[in-house]
Amino acid sequence: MTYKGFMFKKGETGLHKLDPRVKFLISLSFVVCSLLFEELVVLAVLTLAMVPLASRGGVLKEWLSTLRGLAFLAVLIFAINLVFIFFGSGKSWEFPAAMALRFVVVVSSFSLFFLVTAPDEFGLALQQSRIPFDVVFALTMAFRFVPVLALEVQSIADAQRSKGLELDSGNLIMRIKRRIPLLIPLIVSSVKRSLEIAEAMEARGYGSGNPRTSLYKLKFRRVDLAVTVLTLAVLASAVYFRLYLPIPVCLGF
Amino acid sequence: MIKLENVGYVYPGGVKALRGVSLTIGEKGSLAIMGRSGAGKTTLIKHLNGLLKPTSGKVTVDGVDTRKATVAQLSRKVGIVFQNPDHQLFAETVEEEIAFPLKNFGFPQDEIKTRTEWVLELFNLTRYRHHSPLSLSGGEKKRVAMASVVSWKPKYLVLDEPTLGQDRENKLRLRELFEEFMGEGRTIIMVTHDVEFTAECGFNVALLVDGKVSALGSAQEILSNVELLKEASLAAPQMAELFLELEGMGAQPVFTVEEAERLILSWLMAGAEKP
Amino acid sequence: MAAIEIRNLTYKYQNAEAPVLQNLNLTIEKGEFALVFGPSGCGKTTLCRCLNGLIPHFYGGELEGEIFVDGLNVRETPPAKLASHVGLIFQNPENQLFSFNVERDVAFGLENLGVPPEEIRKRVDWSLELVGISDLKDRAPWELSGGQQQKAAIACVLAMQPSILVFDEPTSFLDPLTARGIFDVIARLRRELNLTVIVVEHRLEALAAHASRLILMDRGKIVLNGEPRKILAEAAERLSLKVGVPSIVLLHRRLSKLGILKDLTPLTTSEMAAQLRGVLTRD
Repeated sequence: MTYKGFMFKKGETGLHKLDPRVKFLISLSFVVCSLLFEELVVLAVLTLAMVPLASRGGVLKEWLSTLRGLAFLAVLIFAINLVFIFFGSGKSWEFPAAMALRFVVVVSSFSLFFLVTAPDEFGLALQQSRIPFDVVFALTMAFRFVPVLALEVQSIADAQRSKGLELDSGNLIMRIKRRIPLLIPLIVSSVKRSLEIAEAMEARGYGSGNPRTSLYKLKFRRVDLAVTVLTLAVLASAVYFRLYLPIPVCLGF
Repeated sequence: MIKLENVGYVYPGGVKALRGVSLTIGEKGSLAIMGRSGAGKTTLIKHLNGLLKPTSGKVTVDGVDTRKATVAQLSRKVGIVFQNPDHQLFAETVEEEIAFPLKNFGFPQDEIKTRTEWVLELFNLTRYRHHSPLSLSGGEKKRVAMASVVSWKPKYLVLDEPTLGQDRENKLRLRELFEEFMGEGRTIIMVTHDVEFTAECGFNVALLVDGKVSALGSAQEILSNVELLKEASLAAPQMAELFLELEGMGAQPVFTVEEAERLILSWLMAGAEKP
Repeated sequence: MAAIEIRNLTYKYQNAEAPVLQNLNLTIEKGEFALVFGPSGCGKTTLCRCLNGLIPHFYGGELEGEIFVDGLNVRETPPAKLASHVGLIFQNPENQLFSFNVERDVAFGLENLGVPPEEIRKRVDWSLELVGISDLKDRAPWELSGGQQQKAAIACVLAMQPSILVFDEPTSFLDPLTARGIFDVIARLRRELNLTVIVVEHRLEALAAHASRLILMDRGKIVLNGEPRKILAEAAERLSLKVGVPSIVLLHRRLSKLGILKDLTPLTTSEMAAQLRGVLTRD
């Protein structure tokens, strides 16, 4: 399942202990670098650079499953772009390959981020970055309840299968139609749950109008500062390379 | 007959829900499966219609190994009414909700009509037939859920916590329904922790503790044994507790108020012993 | 000043045809333990929502009459403000815990009120300790059993230090032994913190002995309101089919009618056993 590549995996690694804002910066840097360069070698290096990080974070297996999941889409992007070249700009095949690889770098860097960042940590990071609490809360709640919804769909499917509903056969249209008895209870149940949660929130003072405080506070440690400086340095070098130095021996166009 | 032979089940995450459950259901009447939440009761009933296949051991329904049949095939014989009606109701009207499984099982149109009428009547839902099932109260939703399973008259009717949130009157009707069902030669299997209700139904009782059957016997035997009940996180019915306190008077396991009254009157007439 | 003062309360939900509560009058003094029961649809859940301001502020609808909780006029006070006076614990433990660990959930209410972090810390620890789940503070809610979740929900509400606690069928989703555990917690909290407690419950057997007052509702009205023994005896007469009157009370009623028992309605099995022993050994 590709979604496994985006679910937080508990751990005590160095990567886990970094401030989530730093982790976000790292992922963002990967994305920026991938956008700065079109050269296949660079993009490949970027992808490979995530391997030791994923390994360090103890999430290598899950991260690789994201790559596997992306493979199909990557090939699709490659194929589509290839078609456009033959009718378009006349660049060589490396360009669509680079597009595909760029896509992989972007998505897998976020996969890495979510694998080593706990959702509530992520929420705290957003909060402390002055994003309104309502927005942050809605976001973290979504994370919080995805596993709950997954369990619910299972429970609903069990009940409907027990009434003779065949979910594993039929053509595409039939399969979609057969899933309506799953969708409606899920929606109803989710609405009910949202209502109950909202009630509980109100009963605990939500919307009091007082400025909100927080039990936990993210602490920026020396290690966080060091990693930030390092990342920014790498980013700066990347920009410098892009602007001022031609990249030799790689497959340029 | 449903046979569970040394059934073990381990969830994908590694949790051992069932550890060697052996039960034969249907030979000696209906069964109540009781135990604390998390003991494996719901996991167990999901094995009865093939929703879950045992990771070790075997489950056969009338001789058919559940691993060799689909859930739909097995459900024709083993009808499970799950606990949460919100996880089932989806149709536009109560009528359609009840017709849904009948259509799935391939009943002819006229059969569907007759059975729907019958079951609406039986569960006192006729006036709601054109209502949306989602607009009904909790108790009514439970009845719709039950009605939609009873409609195809499964040989084995399995119910997960049928008395939750039901008042005394509804529980009485439920008992009557059970009797009618059993009179037709069908078997009821219910998962419950309503000790009083089970005592009144007089079913056999299987106590599930930590994924194993810790005790199996008649309601009389099991539900008056306070030790066993405690182990299974159940509370003895008040009448049983009462007569246990009167142990010195030669008490017997008594569950209903009627039985208690009769017993006390008989004592008074016979003259009681000194403590 | 009474803890709860309700005068001529009539309430109709939005888009509903008929009012759910009709001309309700109720006074509950500080420190009382009131047990509310009644057949489904009688309005007991709606009553709970009126006590912490969800009605009318969250649900809208048409509200007539006056509701005063801890001296505050519920109609004019938003639920967020009422939260530090009256806490409401709901039926489903799962949907009251929506953070990633118990501690965070318990802190949620205090964070909302803008309490400074050091104070939050203190109150969270205090609340968890009181309910007896300090060891669960780092656990994720979905890892807990139903009983533990409900205890956590109680801790969440307790942290805001209300003087009144309202429980809306808190044990519906729990097995009987776990339910008893929750009732013990409720009774203990009331004693230790001198709280006013209102519990809506089907399981009268376990709570009747703790309650200082029993309130029976039916179809939006308060039908009986008073001392437990008296109310149980009357309820046995009237609605024994629709309400779960404890078996010992039913037995006592039968035997009293036959002239065999003359004492007060029993609240526990021990009392009943004692009465029976008295009668049976007289011969």
